[in-house]
Amino acid sequence: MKILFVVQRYGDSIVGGAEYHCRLIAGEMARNHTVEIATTCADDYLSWTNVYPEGRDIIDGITVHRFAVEIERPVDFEDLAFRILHGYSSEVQQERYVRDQGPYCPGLIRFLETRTDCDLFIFFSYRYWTTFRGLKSVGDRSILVPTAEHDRSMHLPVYRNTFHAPGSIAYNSPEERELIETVTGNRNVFGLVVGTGIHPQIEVDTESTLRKLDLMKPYMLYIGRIEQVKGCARLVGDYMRYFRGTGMIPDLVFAGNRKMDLPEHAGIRYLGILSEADKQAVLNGAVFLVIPSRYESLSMVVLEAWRARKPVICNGDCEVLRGQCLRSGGGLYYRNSDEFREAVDLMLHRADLREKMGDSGHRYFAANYRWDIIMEKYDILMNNVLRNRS
Amino acid sequence: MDEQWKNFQIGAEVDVADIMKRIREAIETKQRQGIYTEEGIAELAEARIMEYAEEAEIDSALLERLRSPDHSWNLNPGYIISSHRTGLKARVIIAAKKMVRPFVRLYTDQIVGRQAQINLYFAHLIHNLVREMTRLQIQLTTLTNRADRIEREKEFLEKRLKTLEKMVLPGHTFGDSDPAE
Repeated sequence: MKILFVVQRYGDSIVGGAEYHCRLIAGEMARNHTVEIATTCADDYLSWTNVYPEGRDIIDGITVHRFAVEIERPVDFEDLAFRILHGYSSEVQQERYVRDQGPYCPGLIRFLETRTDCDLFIFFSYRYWTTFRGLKSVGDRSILVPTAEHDRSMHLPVYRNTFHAPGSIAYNSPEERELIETVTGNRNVFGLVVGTGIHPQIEVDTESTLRKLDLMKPYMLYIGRIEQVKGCARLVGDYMRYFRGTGMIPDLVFAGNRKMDLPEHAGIRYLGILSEADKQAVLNGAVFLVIPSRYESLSMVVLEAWRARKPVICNGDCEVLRGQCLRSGGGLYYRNSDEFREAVDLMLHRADLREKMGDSGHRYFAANYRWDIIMEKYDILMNNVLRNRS
Repeated sequence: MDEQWKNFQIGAEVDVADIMKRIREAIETKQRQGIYTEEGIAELAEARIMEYAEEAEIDSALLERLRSPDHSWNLNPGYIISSHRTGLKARVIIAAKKMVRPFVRLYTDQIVGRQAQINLYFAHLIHNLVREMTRLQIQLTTLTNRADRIEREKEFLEKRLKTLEKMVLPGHTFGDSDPAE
């Protein structure tokens, strides 16, 4: 089968998020199908500035078609977004909102329309213009991976077609499915809760990596984009308050792309962007993983933690993460500073609980996120699209 | 670490819902005893502000913006000029609006600017008042609880004193005339 993935960004520098999710699925599908990628030349999701050269590229043996973004995101986009999301707006204004959100890339859409040879298109992230516009052209031959979070844009009527047009939908979690079906009323569109598999765990020398990175004290770990919208500022605040209160807690270690300043604090460390091997070692050495983000449709780093039998503490305001913790038994969650303090306290002082939670998380991961299970579900979704077309 | 966690038994399967319930109970117990952290008070005040906003049926996202430190919610004379129309019509309308704007702002900027300062002042004042009110309510609850406890202890001590007096001075009760008489 010939499958074309459509995603807003694609490249080695893009780690985590829907783009990495797409890359994992494409890589796995390429074992049994002819897979290509259609994407933009951008590598920054806020400005959409063209960075990669236009044209064909090969990444991990997969052909990548890149198209230039024609209009970068306007500087006053945040104001427009606020007005659209919190007030009355016409359909024209909403369309402008989607276009300005970007990446506005008409070349990519023209390319999709010429690809009659493709059996199937797989779109990632409902919110972006490439998906919004692409589904209008080839919706009946497509699967949508919405990666939706509990935010207001999904409520805009302009997105209704995005959730009704695809042949099938691959949801990331039962919570995401429930949210989308409730808001958009698309229960008639065939869908499955799929998620993604992740690369197998690599063998690493944890001790020497921890020595190299000077991680000799116990630490709680955050991996991902370090920015306010991911809840990092709140995490820093919660940690510092806890530190003041007890003075005897593990360090808080950040790893990933930093988009906000971190305070100078005795217990807070920033390691930068880590290689896969170092990331694995740092995860192995952590007491637990902490995920303060309120907006997640599927946290791959949580899956990585459970693969490594590490428990997690996550933001309970995120329905998906809370649901994952409750179903798996692999972590605790918090909704305020007091709960953060109690959860950290409990996790720190009860090694037996940590171990049990790590094991529970691992069992849940193995039962739901093995590649053979994921690919089986994608086969069902693909067959549904093909059957409906024929 | 609290005693209850030291003695907490983990079953064969981890029940996260049960642990979270216990965590919330532990926090509530502390709060009933008047043990509030500074951030606990701040959170309670924030929750109260949210409750007031819900009563007033303010959009929660708008409220979030109202509470953000960047004051982007406030009146701003530098609004964006746009039109819901498209094409040539839209360009003409936007150009016309841009031409008119300097004249309009000549009269409105001072008023809008002053109103923005007043808004900011009242928002600041109200937030601090809610926080102070919360702190005082907590202190009041704590002091009331303490007064009740002291009252109970006093009653107990009075009873004890009477009992002891009966044992030492049979036929004499506490509060009567001086036993030395």
